[in-house]
Order: sequence, then structure tokens, then C-alpha cells
Amino acid sequence: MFLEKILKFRKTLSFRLTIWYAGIFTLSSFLAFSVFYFRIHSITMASVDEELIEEIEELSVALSEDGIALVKAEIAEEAEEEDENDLFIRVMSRTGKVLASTNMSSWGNIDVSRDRLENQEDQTDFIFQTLPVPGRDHKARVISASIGPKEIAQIGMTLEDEEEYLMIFRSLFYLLFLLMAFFSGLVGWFIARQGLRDVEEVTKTATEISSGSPDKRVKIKNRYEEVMRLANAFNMMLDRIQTIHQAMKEINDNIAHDLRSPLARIRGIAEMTLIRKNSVEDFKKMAASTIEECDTLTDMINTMLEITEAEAGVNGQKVEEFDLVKLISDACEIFRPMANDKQIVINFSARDSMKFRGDINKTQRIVTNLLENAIKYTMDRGTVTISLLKYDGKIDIVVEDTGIGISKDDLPRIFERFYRSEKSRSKSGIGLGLSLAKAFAISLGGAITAKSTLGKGSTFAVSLPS
Amino acid sequence: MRLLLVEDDLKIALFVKSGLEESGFAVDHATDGQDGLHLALTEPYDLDIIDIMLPKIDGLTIISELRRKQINTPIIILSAKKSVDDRVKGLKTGSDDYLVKPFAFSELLARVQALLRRASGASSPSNFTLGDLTVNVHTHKVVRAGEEIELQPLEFSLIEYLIRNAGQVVSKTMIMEHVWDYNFSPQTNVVESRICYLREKIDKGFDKKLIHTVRGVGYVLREDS
Repeated sequence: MFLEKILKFRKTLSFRLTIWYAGIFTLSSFLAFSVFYFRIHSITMASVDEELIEEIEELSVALSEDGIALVKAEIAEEAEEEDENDLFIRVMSRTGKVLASTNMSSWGNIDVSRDRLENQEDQTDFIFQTLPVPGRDHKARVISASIGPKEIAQIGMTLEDEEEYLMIFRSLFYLLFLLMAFFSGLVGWFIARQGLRDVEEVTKTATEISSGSPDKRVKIKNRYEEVMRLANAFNMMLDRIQTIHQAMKEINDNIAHDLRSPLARIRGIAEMTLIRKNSVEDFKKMAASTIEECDTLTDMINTMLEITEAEAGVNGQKVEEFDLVKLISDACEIFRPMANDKQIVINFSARDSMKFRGDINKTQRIVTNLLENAIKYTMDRGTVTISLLKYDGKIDIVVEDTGIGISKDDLPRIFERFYRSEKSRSKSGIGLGLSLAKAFAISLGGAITAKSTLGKGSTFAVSLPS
Repeated sequence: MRLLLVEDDLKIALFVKSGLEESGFAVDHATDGQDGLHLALTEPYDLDIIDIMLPKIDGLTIISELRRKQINTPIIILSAKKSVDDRVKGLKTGSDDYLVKPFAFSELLARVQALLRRASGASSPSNFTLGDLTVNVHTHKVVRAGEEIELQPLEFSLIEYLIRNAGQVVSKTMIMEHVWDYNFSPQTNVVESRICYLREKIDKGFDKKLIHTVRGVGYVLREDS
């Protein structure tokens, strides 16, 4: 349980961010300390070297002016001044014979690298070495150089002070380094928490919504741009979901209502047929009317689904290029007998062709729904006119009739699902034709509008992007 | 002709089975996917009618299993799933046709016969005759009792479809899909009007009517009333 918690915690963004922050901060402070330390180290060493060179030069001058005797005196003087453990001076011949030296007892077997001195082209150069001294904790810095034609001098200095001095720096650095790591971790954690607190808030809101308060929204605080964007996107998604949810609820109510009527009819007719003494003919009638009602119900359910799918944008469009003029002429041809029955004239003044890219099935359905409505609501000997207009990037399909028209009160509501005006209630239909046309027009990237004068006729215009 | 019906809804199965048997087919019925698959694998059927949502093994699995074993019996899917995606999935799995519940029995029958016709590789004739009516699908010539009848293109398509399915009831939806090939609301009266005009031309003045309405179901072209 505890282990599980730890494992889970290790996967959190806060933990990762903290680790990264602390890691990067610690690493860079380590680099900075290192650079600083090596710089100090080299400065210290350089000053030691300088001191050694001075000594060598003193010896060299003494030798050239007054010979080996003065050198010896100088060495003796030096030995008196300095602790013999801190410094040694040794002058040797090239064969390795010691000519003069301070007390070397505490220096062990430090040798001159005579080979290197002899192989040097320019005999005025110095050779520096940092050598361990046997039996001592600290190393020594040793300079070797030729001071005369036959003489080699070697001066060594213990690095005790320097090493101790650097040691203090090092331990100070270690301490600082640990503090840095600790604090950067702390700061990292704090920053990560701070940044993610708003994310937590989004999570909290989401949890609240899933437990049944759909009206909740994430509060947009003016803090971090990214989190604000997340909160915005989240809220927008919620709005959209709620809209869909609301629409679905309305649809459900409508469906429940509109499905009940045909069901009531089916049930009623079946019941009456069973109760009465009926002929086979009556049973046949009942069966036929049941089939008709079932077909209506099926159509209603299917159309509802099509509207919902079109609105939700699922079942992507089948986009292809087709000729709108042919599509409309075909529709007119199909509806011609229906119009003829009422002696209605369908006018469609077609141009040669008009190419359109989109879903052909949806376009057909829009056109037929509008055309059917126009014929249905136009009195005998009326006219239905379809026109196709193309202008700045748009194509308008306009269906105009000389029908009964739509009242001002009804006009804003005709595209609502199942909405039927008083006058249309008596006509056949399921009250979904215009809703479907609208849903399809929108899913094609267009729009649909209606104008009407009661008693004079209606005009429906579908505007599609060309 | 022997058909296999895999359908778990007993009432649907009953009417499909009895309907098909009345039309002269022998029908075996399996109530779940396991039995269905077993029968389809072991018995030589001329056609399988398979529901998608079945107990034990679902319809799509049965179909892919059959196709994997190189059994190429024509298959019609019967399903309550209507969406385009479902249809495409069904057809891609290897079925030959897809019918959505609720369906008109006459439509199922027509599709069964069409698939069997296609499977047998019989070429369709160019001349169809019913009583004294002859329809030539190549020359678009329609003759009744020796008199040539002038028909508009859509009217011709309608009579062609009716005579190809002579003796069988075709529903409004079938006519819309096969004759018009145009997407519109199944509730429109276009089919009724068109039939009305066709009657004027084919049946008017003849004692023996050929075009009959079967109320609630559809239309049929046949000699007896």
C-alpha cells in the first residue's frame, strides 16, 4: 500500500519536475564551484612557482658572481631562516654529486630529473614537479633548473599551507553544494506545486462534474498562460458537452412524446380489431396500418439519428464533386408527378452545370426536403421555383413557393425538431424535415434561412460554400 | 436452395424462416453464434443470413472465420446497427449485403434472390414478359397486348424494376433505392404518384390489372389480382 503510493508518487509530474529542477540546479552549481576551485588552485600554485623561481634566480646570481662558496652560504642562511621541513635547497653537479644542501632528512628521496634537464635545449628553463614526499601527508612543489654550466639546483617547498587552504575551500564547497541540492529540491518542489496547483483545480472540477454537478466550471485565474489556456479549453469543452447534453435531453423528451402517438395508434387499432368480431379483411387492414406506423417510427428514429450524427459531426462526410444542376433537375423530375397531381408548376431555370464539392447524399436530402415541403404547402395550380445562384464563393439554392406561408410566430421555430405549426399538423410528416435540412446544411459548411409571408408563400435559401 | 439463418431473436427468426420457407427455401436456424458457425462450417449452404449481435460468438467473427477458411457462401447481415461505419465494417469483413432492422420481409427476400442469382452467375435476360406485357431492358421498349407504350425514363426504370421482381412485393424503400438512386425521406409520396402515372399507362383500359398495391407493404407486378 505504502510502496504503491510511493510508486504512484514517483510518476507524478511534480516529482519529475522537482527532480529535474534540483538536478539541473545542482549540476550547474557543481560546475560553477569546480571552475572556481580550479581557478583558486592554479592561482595558488602559480604563486608557489613564482617564489621558487625567485629562489632559483637568487642562487643563479650568487653562483655567477661569487661561485659555489657563496651559494653554500646562501643555502645555509636560507636554512636558518626557514623551517627545514618547509623548504629544501640542493645544488648538485651534473653527475649527481651534491655540492650543497639544506637538511634533507625529512624530504626522503626526492631526485632531480637530470635527464630532462640535460635534454632541454634552452638550459635556462625550469622544470616544475609536484611530488609526493615519502612519510608526509602533503605533497611538495619542486623546481629543478640549471644555475651554472655544471651546476643544477633543486628547490622544494611543501604544499602544506596551500593544500590546507584549498581543503577548507573544498569542504566549504561540499557543504554549500549539499545545501544547494537540498534547497533547489525544495524550491523545485514548490515551483512545481505552484504551477500544477491550477491543474489540480481543473482535475478537481472534472471530478466534481463527474460526480454530478455539470454546471461547475474551472475558475480562470490570471496566473499562468498555459494553465489559463487549459482551463479555457476545458471550460469550452464542458460548454459544448452541456449543449449537446441539453439538446439530447430535449430530443429525448420530444421522441418520447412523438413515439407515443404512433404506438398508441398501433395499440389501439390492434386492440379494437381483437375485441370486435372482425373479418379477415379487417385483420389485413390492421396489419397494413401497423406496418405503416412502424415505417413512420423507423423513419423518425433514423432521421433523429441522422440529425444528431450530422450535428455531432460523427460519420465524416463523403466528399465528392458533382453537378448541382443535375442534382436539382433529377429532384424536380422525381417530384414532377406529385406536383402534377396538384397542377403545380415546378420552375427550374438551369444553367449548363455547376460543380460542387461535398456530400452528395446530404445535398440531395436537403433539396428533396425543401422541394417536398414546397409542393406540400402550395395550393393547387401554384408555382414552385428553384433557383441556383453563384456569387463570391457561395452557392445559394433557393426554393420559393406560392404556398400557405408561415406565420411570424412560427417562422423562428420551424427548424426545431418536431415543431409543427397549426397548419402543418394536418399534413403528413414527422416534423423533422427542416431540422434535418438545417443539420445537413450546417454540416456541409453552409446555412439555411427562411422568409415567408402568410398566405403568399415561403422562400427557403440554402447557402453553401462553393 | 438451402439457407442458414443465425438469429437469436426467436420472433424475428420465426417470421423470416416461415417467410423464406413459403418462398420455397429450406432454412436451418441457429440461435447463437457457436451453433451458427458450426453449421456454416460443416453444411453446404447456398446463402447465410447472420445477425451481428449474437450470444457466444458475434456475427462479424463468424463471417471472418468463414472467409478465412475460404468458404465463400454469400452472406447477408441482419443488424439493428444502422450507422455507415457499421455497414462498412460488415461489408469489409466479407459479407455481401447488409440489411438494417427493422426491415421489410419483401426486401430481405429480394436481396436473397439477387445474391443467389449473382452467385449462380446467371446472366439476366434482356426481355421480361408478364402476361401480355413485355419489357425490353436494352431497347427500353414496353409493349402491352401488341401496343407499344411510351414511358418517361423514370417510369421505365420503375416498370423494369417491378417486372424484374415480378410476383414479389417490393417496398417503397426498395423502389427509392433501386429505381431513383436518390436520397430522400421515405415518407414522401413520390412513389405513390409515380405508380399512379404508371398505372395510367400500363393498366388503363385493360380488364386485367398488372400493378397491384399491397397496403402497408408495397407494390407487386403480377397477373392475378
